Amino acid sequence: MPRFRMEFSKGDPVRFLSHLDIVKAFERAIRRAEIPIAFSEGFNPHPRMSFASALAVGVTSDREYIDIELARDMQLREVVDRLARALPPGMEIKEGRQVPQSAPSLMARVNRAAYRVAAEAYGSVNQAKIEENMAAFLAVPEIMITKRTKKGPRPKNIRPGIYDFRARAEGERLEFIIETMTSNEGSVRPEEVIRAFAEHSGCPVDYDSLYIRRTGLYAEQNGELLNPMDIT
Amino acid sequence: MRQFIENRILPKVLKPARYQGNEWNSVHKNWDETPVRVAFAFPDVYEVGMSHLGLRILYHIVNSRSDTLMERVFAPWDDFEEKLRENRLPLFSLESYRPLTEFDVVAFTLQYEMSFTNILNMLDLAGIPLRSAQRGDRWPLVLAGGPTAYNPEPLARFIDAFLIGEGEEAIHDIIDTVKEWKQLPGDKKKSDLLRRLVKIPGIYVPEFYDVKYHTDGTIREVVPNASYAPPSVVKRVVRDLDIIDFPTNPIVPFTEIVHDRIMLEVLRGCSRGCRFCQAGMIYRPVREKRPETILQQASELVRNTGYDEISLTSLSTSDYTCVQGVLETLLDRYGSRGVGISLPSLRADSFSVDLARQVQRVRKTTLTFAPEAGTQRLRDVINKGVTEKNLMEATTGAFKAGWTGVKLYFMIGLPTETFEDLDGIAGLAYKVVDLGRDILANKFGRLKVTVSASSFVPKAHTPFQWAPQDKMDILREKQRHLAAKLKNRRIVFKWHDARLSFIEAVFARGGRRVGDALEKAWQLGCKFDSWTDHFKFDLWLQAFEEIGIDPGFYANRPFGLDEVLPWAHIETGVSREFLAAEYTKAVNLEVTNDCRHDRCTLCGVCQSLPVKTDLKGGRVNAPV
Repeated sequence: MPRFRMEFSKGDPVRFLSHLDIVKAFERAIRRAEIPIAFSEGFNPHPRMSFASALAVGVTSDREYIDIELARDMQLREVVDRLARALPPGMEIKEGRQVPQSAPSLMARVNRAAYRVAAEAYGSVNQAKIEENMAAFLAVPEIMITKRTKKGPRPKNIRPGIYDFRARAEGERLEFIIETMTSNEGSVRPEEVIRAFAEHSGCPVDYDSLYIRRTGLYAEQNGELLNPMDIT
Repeated sequence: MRQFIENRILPKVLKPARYQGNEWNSVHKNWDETPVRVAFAFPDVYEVGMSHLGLRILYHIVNSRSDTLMERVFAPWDDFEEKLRENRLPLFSLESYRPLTEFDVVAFTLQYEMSFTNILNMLDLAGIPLRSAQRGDRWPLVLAGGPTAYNPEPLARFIDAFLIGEGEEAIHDIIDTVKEWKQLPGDKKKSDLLRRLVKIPGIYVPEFYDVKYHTDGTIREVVPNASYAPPSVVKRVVRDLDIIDFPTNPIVPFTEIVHDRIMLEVLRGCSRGCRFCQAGMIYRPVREKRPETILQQASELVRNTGYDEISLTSLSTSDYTCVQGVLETLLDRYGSRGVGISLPSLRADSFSVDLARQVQRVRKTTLTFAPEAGTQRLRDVINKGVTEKNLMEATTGAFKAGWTGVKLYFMIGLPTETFEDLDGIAGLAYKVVDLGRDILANKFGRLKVTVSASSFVPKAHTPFQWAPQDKMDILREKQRHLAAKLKNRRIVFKWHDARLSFIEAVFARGGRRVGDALEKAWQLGCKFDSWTDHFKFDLWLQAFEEIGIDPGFYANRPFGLDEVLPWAHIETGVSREFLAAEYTKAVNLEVTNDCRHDRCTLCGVCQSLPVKTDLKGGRVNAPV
């Protein structure tokens, strides 16, 4: 039976939804759209759908990915159109394609995420200065932070999970461009990078002002970045 | 304001999706082009309020009118409240993020007494003066309705007008009146609006009534002080559930709520006649929907919401005369589409267990029954038509069908209760354990029998409205007695906080004077009282003390049969004579039949109101 992959966005109107809320929103939209989704076997059947990556509460995204499996044939165009009409405002389907049944799960392959973070600073920040501070920050081999986990606070070195970190300063407004690891083995959150940087450099970031937008998800493979739509 | 809240407050609070207001099927109307604006206020958190069917019904009905908009507001959780106060922001509606003060009407629903402090807190957060007398012409009309409005007196000083009874039709009358008043030329007087409103059947305006007391604190009389106020207010009731508007496009919350499913009402009312039960008296008579109506609404609901579960709701769905056929059709239609059917509450009999067996898609581990009392004697007193045989057949059926957990609900402190009745509760629990041992065999290790004991709270308009609540120390002794008897590896015993039941009883039977204590308790910091971690009993006692009210006067005192009750001027249609006769019969261990299966009990509803029992199947399903 056909398996479809879709790229969608999570916009401002739904930015405070948790990953679980997003999953449920899709389940319900699929039912409203009367798309013949397949169900898992067993006592408690679940609709067959899977996501590339979970997105935190409060974070928007330009590019998220979902795979759904159908129980019977339906044209891609039809699936996308119906779903687009049934999704709540703020969740938009950007693109869709059919992928082979045998395609690997997105969750298993996606391992990198790109973000743009808007922030305000207490006072004016100089572009040259912030670049200099960033270079110094990234030059250290170990950036230890304390992660809050279910088992209590744990120390963690986030440096290996930071692939790109740049900033643009305009007076008291800052924009960070960040690329980090996101995978089952561990993820580095953009706010962790910013906080660690601010503490390291003394950059006066107002943490309450962070507005985080995910701009892309990728699968890094032998030094090459693959778009999830192309992973088959 | 919206931008500030979204960027600066929502990222900092728990469950921010509670405050977004843009859920699927939420209605956002053009403010300036809509002449009448009503805020529906639920005095508890979003997850609780959004699970309330009454909200879904009224939201739909009001927003179907082109001349009116209804928006929602819930009690914000502590963290959000703190941010509002810190930033000096007023409480606002979810849809348009407008302060409540901009609405024409702020309408609270009263679902339980322990939400009263939240009403005061919400008014305060909105910047609206608490007392009606302090609110001049520029403030919104503060309205209240719902089951707890049947004793409106504790809130009489804070609410401008109450709607007594069912809202589907009355809400139109209210809106028409508000609209008419708004369109009058010149200065608009609140007093004029109230005078117009009181002409609507079912509307109670407290300030048009004077309460006169005897020296002992009991009431001498409640009399209208205005010629246009009726001597008593009779509840509103809809005649035909098939004709009234029922929402088939309810809001689908993004975040998980308590009842996160389609709620499809199949019937209203219950005439089984349990003597402690307020719902069983105030929602009379029983009116069923036709199966065709239910099936049509189910199909629209699934298409419009995308939910994966339809709950067939009512006070007792296994009593619906067409339940079997409706269930079969729904299971047939939706089973393959991943939509399940559920029944909210079960009678303790084998018929109900059989229904539960048919609908269960996911094998839930626990079935819940409510025998309410431990001996046949006490079950006769409360007129709970469930026998030990019924319960044993029901649990046998449940264990045979694969359930390994049974939850049994009881009430302690019922009128005439003795320790023998408590021992009866323990006896039933052990019989269920024995049954489990016999039937479950090698799965016996999984058996869990939960015994839950709430404390009897006498409620207005029931046969037990005159009965005292046990004092707290007696309730606690009874709880300890049961706990000692129920020490068993297979039994879990749970009980309710007697202090909470005590405060609940004060407001369930209190008059206007307890309203002062309510305001004081709120000032001292009481809110979210039904949330265990928020309940501050000491502050409540302090409030009663400071105001000079003896709470026991309302909770623990037997009310005289000839006493004027605080709610005497509110009429449910069930006559005072019937309730008094039921109370006498209770003490004499006489049971009363259900008028659906036997002769009319002359409770008064069908005699005094333009409505009658309306059964669509005409056939009786369950044993009486």
